[in-house]
Amino acid sequence: MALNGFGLGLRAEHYLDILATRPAVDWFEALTENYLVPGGKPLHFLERVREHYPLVLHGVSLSIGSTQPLDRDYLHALRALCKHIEPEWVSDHLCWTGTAGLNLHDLLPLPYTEEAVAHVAARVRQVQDVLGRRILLENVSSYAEFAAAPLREWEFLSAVAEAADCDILLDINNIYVSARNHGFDPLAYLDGVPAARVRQHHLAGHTDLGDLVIDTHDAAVCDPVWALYAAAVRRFGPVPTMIERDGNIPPLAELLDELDLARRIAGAELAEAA
Amino acid sequence: MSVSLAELETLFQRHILDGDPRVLRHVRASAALSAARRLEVYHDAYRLRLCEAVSSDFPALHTLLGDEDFTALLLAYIAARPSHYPSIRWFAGELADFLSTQAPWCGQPVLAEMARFEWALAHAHDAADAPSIGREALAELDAEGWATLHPRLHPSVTLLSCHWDTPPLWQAIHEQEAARAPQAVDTQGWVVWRDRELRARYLSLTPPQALWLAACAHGDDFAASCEQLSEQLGKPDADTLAALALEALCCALDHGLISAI
Repeated sequence: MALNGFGLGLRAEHYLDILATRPAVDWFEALTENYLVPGGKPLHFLERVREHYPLVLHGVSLSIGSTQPLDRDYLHALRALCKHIEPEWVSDHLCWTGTAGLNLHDLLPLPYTEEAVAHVAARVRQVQDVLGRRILLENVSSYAEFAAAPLREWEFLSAVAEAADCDILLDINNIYVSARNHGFDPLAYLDGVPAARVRQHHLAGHTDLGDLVIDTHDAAVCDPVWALYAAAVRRFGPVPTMIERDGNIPPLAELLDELDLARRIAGAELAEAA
Repeated sequence: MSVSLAELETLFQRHILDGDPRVLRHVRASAALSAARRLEVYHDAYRLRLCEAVSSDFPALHTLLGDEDFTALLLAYIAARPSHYPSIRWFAGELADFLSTQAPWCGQPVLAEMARFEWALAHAHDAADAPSIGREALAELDAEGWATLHPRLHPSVTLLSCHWDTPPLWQAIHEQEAARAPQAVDTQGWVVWRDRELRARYLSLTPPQALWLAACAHGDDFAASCEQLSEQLGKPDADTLAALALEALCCALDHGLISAI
């Protein structure tokens, strides 16, 4: 795992721009499910981008916390995609997406219990065995927590990572969103996560409804999230960082400017620490 | 109160799917936010996300129905056919079937036809890759090659039989022309596929072309497809049959519909 620098989420709206202009992006993150298709345009463009950039894969359907059996067909398709495009690493979310054979296509919250730690960790090990590589798990934004949950979210994430021997994709916006929704200190979250396992950061925008903050990925990163990112750089050092945008997708140049801001913030924090 | 992870997930899912309130007592409320308000986010996001995904695959169906009726259709579909697919890409694969069998939509068959057409376009976008054989391949055939000729359709090909002017109507909607009503037409064959430049394309077919391509889709070799064509067209003379079959084959080759011969 040698990836460094600053990346962007690969989106179909930018395929042609990326190939025509070869922007100064260190790597791209591709959404796994968009490329678990038989062929055609999505895989064509993924292969073309891969010719010029390192890639990582980021999934939404692993459903690592579900109590229904792991989807072996999905895992084998993911393994085949990995063989095809050789991503630097593979990530998914610390959540569940459905049970009883259904997929609700949402990142649903887990109870922060020892039972869930053991359950998820065992499944992560199975996934890592099938893929033949260590995966990264991402903290999700959440809007509900369960009453019978003795652990804090960051304790749960850390315990799963330790028990499964997997790595962490720490989404800075998700920490901010969940901190606002549940009233915890986001800096305590950063302090509670094992630095050695944090391999990637996500940055994104959200929607503030007042009583709740929703993780919508449809806006620029806001100032409080930039401030939290600066704190993350101080805590974790130079971790590969990228911006996700899934709605109101702007021209590529606008995202490149936003990515430059991430570079400048990280650079300033690292220079101060040096 | 103790509840297992499996029970908690089942209750949570039931709340999202049908509003079952039993999970409420397991969700932590705060001074500012009730458990119900917190769960409402998941309940609403589930429908919103699926509606957005289907909308992007069926823009013309959306236009035909209008916002309100399209949303009503999607909510009914989501309730009737919850997703069991790993990717949201495949969630709407049963929408045309749903439209053709469920009231009130089955009373407007153009809706199911438009859904089938738009799903065929989506299929063309990301169907399996395969070679695309051109007409020049025929020049290399010797007598035995012609005798064993077995054209195979490109994986992106979908054959449609339309009773409405669905593809032209889709084009008009796509180009934002003035709204017009669907027109009933005599049964018309269409083919939808991905061309060599990776563009989704569609083409109207003559009856012999449609019959010949249907035989190919069925797996017939060239000789069998000619027999099918002969049966369906009332046994024309051999020269006419050969000319029609060759024309259909060449048309398919010219448009990139054939992946192997």
